[in-house]
Order: sequence, then C-alpha cells, then structure tokens
Amino acid sequence: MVVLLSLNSYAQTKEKLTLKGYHEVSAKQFIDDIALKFECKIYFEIKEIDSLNISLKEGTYSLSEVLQMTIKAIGLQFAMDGFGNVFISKKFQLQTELAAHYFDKQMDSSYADRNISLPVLSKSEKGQLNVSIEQKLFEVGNKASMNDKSETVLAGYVRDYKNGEAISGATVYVDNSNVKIITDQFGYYTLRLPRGRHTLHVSSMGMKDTKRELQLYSEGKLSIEMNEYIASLKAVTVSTERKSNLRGTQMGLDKVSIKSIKQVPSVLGESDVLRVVLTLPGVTSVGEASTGFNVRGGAADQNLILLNDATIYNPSHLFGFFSAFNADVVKSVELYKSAIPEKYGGRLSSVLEVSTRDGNSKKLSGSGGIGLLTSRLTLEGPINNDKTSFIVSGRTTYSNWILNQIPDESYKNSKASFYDMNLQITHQFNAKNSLYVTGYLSHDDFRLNKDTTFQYGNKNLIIKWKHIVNNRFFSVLSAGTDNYGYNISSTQVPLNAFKLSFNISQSHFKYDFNYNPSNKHSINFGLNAVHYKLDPGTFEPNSQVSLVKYDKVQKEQALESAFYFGDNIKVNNDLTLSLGLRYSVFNYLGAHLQYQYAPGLPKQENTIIDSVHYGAGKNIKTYHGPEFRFSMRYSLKEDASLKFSFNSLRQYIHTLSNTTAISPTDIWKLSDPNIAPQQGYQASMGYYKNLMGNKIELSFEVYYKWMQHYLDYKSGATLIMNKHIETELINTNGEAYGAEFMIKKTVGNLNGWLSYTYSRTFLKMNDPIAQESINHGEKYPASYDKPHNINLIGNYQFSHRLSLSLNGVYSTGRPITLPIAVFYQAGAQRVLYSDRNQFRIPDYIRADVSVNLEGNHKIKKLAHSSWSMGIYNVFARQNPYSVYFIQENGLVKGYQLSIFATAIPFITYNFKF
Amino acid sequence: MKLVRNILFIFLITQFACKKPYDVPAININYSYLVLEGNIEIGINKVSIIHLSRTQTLKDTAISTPETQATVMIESNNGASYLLNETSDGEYTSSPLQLNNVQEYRLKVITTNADQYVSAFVKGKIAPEIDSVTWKQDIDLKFFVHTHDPNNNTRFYKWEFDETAQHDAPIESRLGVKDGLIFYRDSSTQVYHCWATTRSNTIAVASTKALSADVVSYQQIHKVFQNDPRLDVRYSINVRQYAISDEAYQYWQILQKSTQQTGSIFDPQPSQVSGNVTCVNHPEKIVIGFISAGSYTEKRIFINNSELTNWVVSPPGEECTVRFTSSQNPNNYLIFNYEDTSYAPQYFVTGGGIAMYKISCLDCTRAGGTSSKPDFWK
Repeated sequence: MVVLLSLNSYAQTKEKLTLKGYHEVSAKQFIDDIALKFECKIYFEIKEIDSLNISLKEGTYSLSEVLQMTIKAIGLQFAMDGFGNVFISKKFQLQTELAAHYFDKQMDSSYADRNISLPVLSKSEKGQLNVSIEQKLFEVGNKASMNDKSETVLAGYVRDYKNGEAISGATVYVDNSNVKIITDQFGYYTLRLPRGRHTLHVSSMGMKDTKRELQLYSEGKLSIEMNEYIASLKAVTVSTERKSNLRGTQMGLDKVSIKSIKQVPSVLGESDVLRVVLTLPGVTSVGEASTGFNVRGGAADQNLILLNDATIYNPSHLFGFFSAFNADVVKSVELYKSAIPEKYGGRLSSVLEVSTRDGNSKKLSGSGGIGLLTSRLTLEGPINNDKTSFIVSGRTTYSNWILNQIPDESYKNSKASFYDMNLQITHQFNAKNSLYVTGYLSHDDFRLNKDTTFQYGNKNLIIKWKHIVNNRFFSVLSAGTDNYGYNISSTQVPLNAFKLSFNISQSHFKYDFNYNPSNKHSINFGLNAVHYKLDPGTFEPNSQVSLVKYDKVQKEQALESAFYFGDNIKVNNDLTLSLGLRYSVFNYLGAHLQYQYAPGLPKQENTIIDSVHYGAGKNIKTYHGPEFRFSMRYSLKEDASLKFSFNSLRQYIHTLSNTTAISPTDIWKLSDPNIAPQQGYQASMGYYKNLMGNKIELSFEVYYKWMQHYLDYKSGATLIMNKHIETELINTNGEAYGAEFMIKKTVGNLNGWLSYTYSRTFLKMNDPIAQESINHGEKYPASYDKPHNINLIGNYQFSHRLSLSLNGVYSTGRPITLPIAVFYQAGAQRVLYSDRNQFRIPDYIRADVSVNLEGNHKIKKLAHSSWSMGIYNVFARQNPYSVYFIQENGLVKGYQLSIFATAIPFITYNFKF
Repeated sequence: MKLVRNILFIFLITQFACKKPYDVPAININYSYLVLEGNIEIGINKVSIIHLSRTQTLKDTAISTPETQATVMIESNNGASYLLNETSDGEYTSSPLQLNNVQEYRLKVITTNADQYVSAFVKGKIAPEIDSVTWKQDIDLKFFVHTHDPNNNTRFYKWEFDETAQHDAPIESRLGVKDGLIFYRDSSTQVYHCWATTRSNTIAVASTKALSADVVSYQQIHKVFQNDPRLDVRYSINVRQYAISDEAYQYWQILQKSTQQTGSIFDPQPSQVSGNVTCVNHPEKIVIGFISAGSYTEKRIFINNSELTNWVVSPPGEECTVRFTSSQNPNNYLIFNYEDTSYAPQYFVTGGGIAMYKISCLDCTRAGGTSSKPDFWK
C-alpha cells in the first residue's frame, strides 16, 4: 500500500475546493493531486489502481464528492476517518474506527511501490523530514520474484530534502555487507545487492546520516532525501564520512565540503575554496598571493582545475588574493593527488574538481554576503516546475569606488576590481535523462603600481547530458568551451604605451560511461577530446603617439584526444583493486610556420636550418602514449587500512612563467615538434587509522615521483613575445618525494585538522645539446621546492550559534636565484647570479582567527543571517609575495613586495532567504 | 564610519605600500670574485693585453674594481712562459711575442693573496679576413659584417669594434691662448675638429655551425639610434673579428644576455656565467672570464652625415653669441686677459679689438675626445 501525500490535518477535507478538470489521468496521479489539494493522506494499494484512469469535470467539490465521483465510479471503495485520512480499497470499505497505530503496523509490511517511494511527511516536523521514514520498510521491485535469491540492482538519487539538490559524494552502504558506493556528481548511486531485507545507510558531509529499511524484490529505484545537519551548520565538517577514509579505494583524495571552507578564516571574510585546499597535506603555494598551487612537488601548471568539468586556467582573483570560485555556489571540492582516475588526464600532478550546487528545485531562495570590499548574491529556484532549477550567483568588489573616495591622489591612480558570475541550470527530462548547463565568467582589472594595468578573465560554458540506460549502466555526454586571456597595458609614458595580450581557448568533448555488472566490478570508460587554440602574444601600441611596433607571435592549435578504461575490482572484503588505462594522442596542427633546427646542435636562432609552413589543420607532429593508473586498498583491521597506488600521466601543455618580475606573467605553450610532452610517474603508499571510535583520523602517506621533459629556462631567457621560445628552453628531469601526515578530529566541540608535509622537488638538466649546464649539471631545487609545511585548522564550537576558528600556516620560503654581484666585462657592467635556486626567500608564517555568529535557527524565519568577523594575519608578519630586483640610478636594488603586510580585520554579513 | 575608514585605510596601506627593500646577507657579501678579460694574441710581434678586476656588491657605485699587483703570465704547453707587466691598474700587457697556432696556451694569474688561477689550454685560432662591413639605415643605423672561411673551419665568430666619431666645435677659431698670449692655431693645435673613440660595449657573436658553408652574411653587430650626435659630421667603425671555440661562443652568448637590466616583465631570466678559468687552490670559487687565443682581422669603414637620411644635427649645447673686447694692451696686441676666463678669442676685429666666444663654443675637446686627428682618419 502506498501512502500518498500528506500534509496537514483534516481541516480541508470538509471544505469545497474548485478543481480544474481531469481527463483520463492515471489514478495515482489523480490521487496524488487530490491529496495535495485537500491536504489529506490517502492510502491505497498501488496494484489495485495502477491500470486505472480517472476523469473529472471542472467544478467545486468537497473531498467526499470528488471521491464519490471518481473512486466509487471506477469500482473502488473509500473510507474517511476524522483525522483527514482516506483509505481506498478494492473489495470492501475499511473501518475507519481502527486505531491509527494498528494501521501503521499494517502498512509497514506493505508499503511498496514499483518505482518510486515518497516520504511520509507530517506537519509537526515543520518541513523537516519525518524521522519515522527511517523505520518504514520500503519494498522495491516486483513481489512476484520474491523467492529468487540472486543479486539485483538498486539505483536512485540522493537529494537534499530541503531544496531537492543532488548530493554528490554521499556514501551509500548496506549493513552486513561490504557493499558501499559513493554517489556521483549528480547524486546518483547504483548498488548491486542480494534480494531480501537490507538496511541502507546514507551519509554525506554536513547532512544528517539517514537509513532506509529495505525489502528488495527485483531491480528498482529508491531515491533518498537527506536533511541538513542543522546543529553542525558551518561547524562540523567531515563527521559523517568518518569511516570513508578507511573504506574508499581512492588514495590521495582530499575532499572538502563547503561547510569546512566557510569556517576557515579568510581574507576579508570571503570564504575561499583554494585557500582551504592549500591547507591540505601535500599542497603548497609558491607565495601568498600566487595564482597557482603545487601538489606533491609538481609545478602549478600540472594541476587540472575543473569547475563542473570546465577547465579554469586562472583560478584566482587579484593575483590570488581571492579564489575565483564563489563559495556560495560551490558544493564540494575534491583534490586527487595520487590515484588520479583514468577519466582525467592532461596534467601531471593533480586534479582539483570543484562542483557547484544545483539550484533549489523546490522554492525560490537566495543568499548573499556583504563585506568591506566584496559583495555577493545568489538566487536559486525552480523554473516552472520542479524538473528545472537554476542557480545564478554573482560577486563583485567596490574597491574602485572606495579608492576614489580617498583624498590621496596616489590612490586614485590605483584600481582593483573583479567580478565573477556562475550559472547552473539543471533540467530533468524524465527519470532517465537529465541536462546540466554550467556557465562561468570572471574578470579582473588591477593596477598593481601606478602605471601598469593587468586584466584577465575566464569564460566557460559546458553542457552535460546524463542518460541512464538502466540501473547498471549510465552515460554522461558533455561538451563545452573554455577561454582564458589576459592583457597587460601601460599608458604612463605615451611614447612607450603598449598593450600585451595573451589568449587560450579550448573546445572539449567527453563521453563517459559507467557500468556496474556486479558488485565486484565497477567499470568506467569513455573518450574525450580537447581542441586547443592559443594566441601566444600580441604586442601593440596603446596611444596615438606610441612608438611601439605591432608584433604578434603566431597562433598555435592542437588536438588532444584520449580514450580510457578502468575497472574497480573488489577481490574480497579486504582487498580492492582499481586498474585503469588511458591512451592519449596529441596532434600539433597548422596553420603554423615551423622552424627546424640543425640536428645535434643547440636550438638557437642561428641553428635554424629551415622553416616549413603548414596549412590550416595540417598535422605537424603527433605524440601518443599510454597512461597507467593502478591503486589498491587492503583493510588491516576494522579501523586501519593500507593503500598503494601507481600512476603515469602525460601533459601536452606547459606554462612558462617569468617569476623574476614584480608580478609574474605566465604563458601557456603547447607541445610541438621541438617541445616534447611532459611525462610523470608517481608511486605512493598510505596508512590510515581511526582512533577513539572513528573520532580521530590519522593518515600517513609517502610518495615518490619522477618527471621527464619538464621545462626550465636557459640562462638569460626572455619569454615574453618570443617567436622561437624553444630556443630558450631546456629539458630537465624532475624528482619529487615526500611524506604527509595528518591528524583530524572530526566531531565534538573542538574539531579541525593538523597536517605536516615534507616535500622536496629537484630538477636536473637533461639536455645534451643545450651546451650550457644549469648548476654544473647537478640537481637543483625547483622554484617551488618548499620542504616543510605545517597547517592547522581548528574550530571550537561554543554553542550552536557561536564558533571560533583558528588557522595557522608555516612553510619554508621558496627558492630563488639571487643576483649576488656585479662585474665589468666586454664594455659593460653585468650582473652575476647565484647558482639556480640556491637561496630562499623568508619563511612564510601566518595565523588568522575568526568568529562566526549564526542567527537563530528557527526554520520559519524569513531570512537567516550570520556574521563573520576576525583578523587575517594576526601577527602582522610581512610575508613576501614577490622578491624582485630593479635597477635604480645604476644600482641593482632588491625589493620585497608583501601583499598583506599587516593584520587585517574583517567583518562580513551573510544572509540566506 | 570612522572605523570603516580606518579598516579601509589599513587595507589600502597593505595593498599599495608594502614594498620594502629586500636586503639579505647573500646580496651584501662582497664575494670579490676574479674577473678576467683578454685574448692571447697569436702572430709575429703581437702584444696581449689582459684586464683583471673583481666583482663588486650590488651597492658598489664604482664602475670596476681593478685587481692590481698580480703576477700574470702566458704559459705554453711546451713549458715556455711569458710574463705580463701591469701597465695601468688592472691592465697587464705582454711584450711583443711570437706565439703560434701549433702550441696551446693558457693564462696563469697569481693574485696578491696567493690564489692561483689558470685558464684552460687553448689552441690559437686564426680569424679569416672580413669580407666587408656594411651599413643600412631604416630609421636607425645598423652595421653588418660579412665574412667567410673557405676552409669551413672557423664556425664561431666574435666581433669587437671601436667607434670613432668626429665632432666639430660650433664656431671655428684660428686663435688660441697660451700663457696669456694669443697664438695662431695650425693643424696640430686646432680645436675645431675632434675625434672621440669608444670601445664596443655589446657582445656580438655568431655561429655558422648549422650552415653547409662557413659563411656569415648580414650579421648585425651594432645599431646606432636615429639622430645620434656621433653621426653629426663623420663617423668610423673599426670591426675586429676573432675566431673562437664552441665553448667560448657559449660563454659569450650567455654573457650577452646578462646585462644589468632587471625588474620588468620583459626582462631575461637570471643567467649563470662561468668560463674556462679555475682557481687552482680553491676549485669551488667562481671565476668569471673566458681566455681565448688567436689572431684577429679588422676592417674600417667611414660614414658622412650627408650619406644619411633624416639625421638631424644636434644644436650646440649652449648659446654661442659673440662678445667684443678692445685690445687691452696697446704694446702687445697678443696679450689676452679678459676678465671672464670662460671666453676665448675668435678673431681680431679690423680696427682693433677681439671677437670672443665661450671656450665651449670654440674648443671641441670640451665635449670630449681629442683634437689630434687619428692616423686612420681619412
């Protein structure tokens, strides 16, 4: 029997309501509608009505009149009790005098539906999911196959009860079995279970754990809705995933929920996704406000940063002061640093996957924040019906306006502004087909010193179609375009006014399939292609009188395609293997004028022996190769496990970064006949243990990594507007190793984590024809080699409304090549530099505190609000952002630029409606 | 509001006023590494000149710190050695030597602190003749060198050059003053035409390694920006061509990029220069310099201002107006003691008196260079 809709008491049952007409609608749909309109509970046996259709003329009726004209008319009986319950039966009318609890008992064993189950709701819970749903028995499938004991498949979505949003990364597992699955980015899960009685547990970060009692007859669907864990709002982060670090096969995966992101004290109260990522073990940054981060001794360009599968080339605002991801729309952040799934490729070090939320599919709502320098606003809700929802969010600064209010003239010359916008539309055509559209736009406009203006922005659009073939098989088809560009301009000296621009755009396509033939195997395969188009540099005059000559580095384009296949194999309860293979092919394409260098000679302008022009779309050079992904987990005991992984990766696009200037400028460069793709291999091992009943998680991972064809620069290389950039590059081999230790307390009033990372990265020149030898051919530290890193994130919950957070960071300063002397030779004074990266800038030390004050938690409140205030960089330490040398009056002088050189108090008001 | 203002102010201060000098000990140490420059000259009666200096700290304003009183010698791999004498601070000159391109030579330096430095043994390389030096003016004036080695044996070239520019005084005067007496200037005492010579301060190297024939053509070695006063009258460039080794070529190429410019986004990456000299008793010590051996060939060309297009002659540095004085001493009209000593006579005015101009208008040596005509000047 099904309990169909709910709500309210019997108040409405005696009233007359005006109804629109119904024509041949299914009985179930009709009952559904009536129950809603009259706010009553209607109980019925689905089998008795599922083939029946009902028609009703438009008119004003009482509930009993409606039932009389419809239910009775199709030969069914109905009974109404005095509490707004209606019982529909086939053979005889039910006696409504029966005690309610008697009836409930009856229901427990017959509460079933072929394909759908709806929660029982009661008004007393004020919109919260009724807890009793956890006690109800859900019968899934066709009872006819009751005696079959073979395995069958259960699938469905896990959603947020409040707004219908999909919950990705939720853990679904079954008692008395090791079957466990994580919902995908759409909140979808597929489980293979033996038929029979099960208890299904669902947990997800920031959500209240829930469970479903389940009687599984045959293949079927069960969608589960979860409640937000109100008590832990913006406080406890990962408590519900307590066991997952032991159970997952994935190693080197860090997952951060938006709640933990929001509790970390941030610059000026702006929640910052990347800043939290930087607190994870194995992740370091080259500087305070650097755009990039380094994962396990990899370069910043070796991270694939994805926003719903769209590649974000520059994930930061104002050169890294803020991350480009608006925390209001971010659902979760996942960082893969060792076992990178085969579906990802193209970068050596890591994949950072940022997923945004689906819009609230139940009601229109919004949230926002007002801070000293930035404000943000998010709107979300259903469009027309609950099948389509949207979320749109924007963020901007008004610092330009503020700068203009300051009477000092020099401030008026400065500007710092940015904005970003996110749009996500989710449409569900039916149970099997869903469409997701994500758009992202960001723009930055910043004048660092008086004369030079920097502008940059990302533009991304991606469309995804998820098609569920059956419970065991589904596919996701996606296509999109990503664009990143920057320009640097100066007009201070009109005669030298210039504008330098760079642009990269890519179109991508991916077809991803998931197949779960049995609980022992979970297969993922697919193909993807990326078409790159680069505009490596245009240098043009920027005033009427400018003497700058127009110059342009020729465009380049390439196609990177790959197919992949992976299988997650559960050998037994203790051992799980994951095997993956990815084969990637890279074609460097015309139109391009390709220089050829004399073989065996250093690549220099004067060793160019020929230049060949290739027509548009013509294949100039092909690189291809396999990539292997392997990982395994072995459970040692109930509370400990051991993991091992090996990965090989290839990267066809490289960043060349000039870090010696005040503000680094990066150029992306594709592999071409002269520049081989980077290749990386990583082996890692980890040990995980939970203590005190999973309250404390310990993890220890070690890794060793080697890279080939990593690019470094020749002495005196110039990177900007260089038409034969290959003449300035040298091949190096890289080697990185390290250990990561993390202790995490996930529950209780005091929670947080402490991580320590030891990581080293060395490069060694491997370029027999380059002739010059960097550091005498010895290995030298990479420019992002920072051996010691300590991160502390602590949070103390005084009450449900008041919490205090502390954030501490220490890391070794990054290596730098210093000018150490000047000398006179060949008629001019020249600078002598130290060996490459032989010195280090000062260590980085920072601590921040913040206090979060929540408004009260009354559900019915019109708008929920919170205050967040605190101090960034409490000790006012002047951590260097960049160290650079300029010539002043004939002398070389060094400067250190600190962005946040003092303690910065902040206050932000956040609201939600 | 005031609080908000203060907070904003703090933010702005931090955002825009957080640049501070970066002063690390590593920069302030005076490493004082030895810097060598020079060439072991091969041929009959050739004089080799070696310059020794020391590196300075970034804060040192002196152009160069010469290394004095060192013992400098050229050593041959057959055991012969030739001492060089310090002719001026840090400049060491050999007597005329007959060195050949069969033996290998090296430079040995013993400094006053008893450090011993040696360069690698190198074989002398004979430079082929320069085919021609040409110039071309788009807007700026560019100089090119053309050469070839019929034996396809040279492959790596290095050029140095001297520029000599004639500059004339704004006003020509036939009169001079010596010991208070006016005298008539002749060609040996004239100060109307001057010649200033400067050594090249750029490094020009080229390789023909990638070419099938050892031919250098249109190799740009120098550029003079439009309206440079050095081409106001007549200009000459003398190009010296050296044949160098592959290693020397790499050294000079890196050094070429190691200028003192730094700080902008267009700047080159840091460069490492070393060379072929090592410190025997402290092998870890950095030594800068590459000592080659060889002979050079040279070629000189001249350009007149009239050959150039749109080359505006710069006006004199100050206004040159005539001033008159009556002859002060009727007994000796050659006595000149005008009270303003910045004036000098230009001519005797008919009927008595002297026309005068400021010395800077009459004497070109005041603007640098020498008034004695170089031998090569045609």
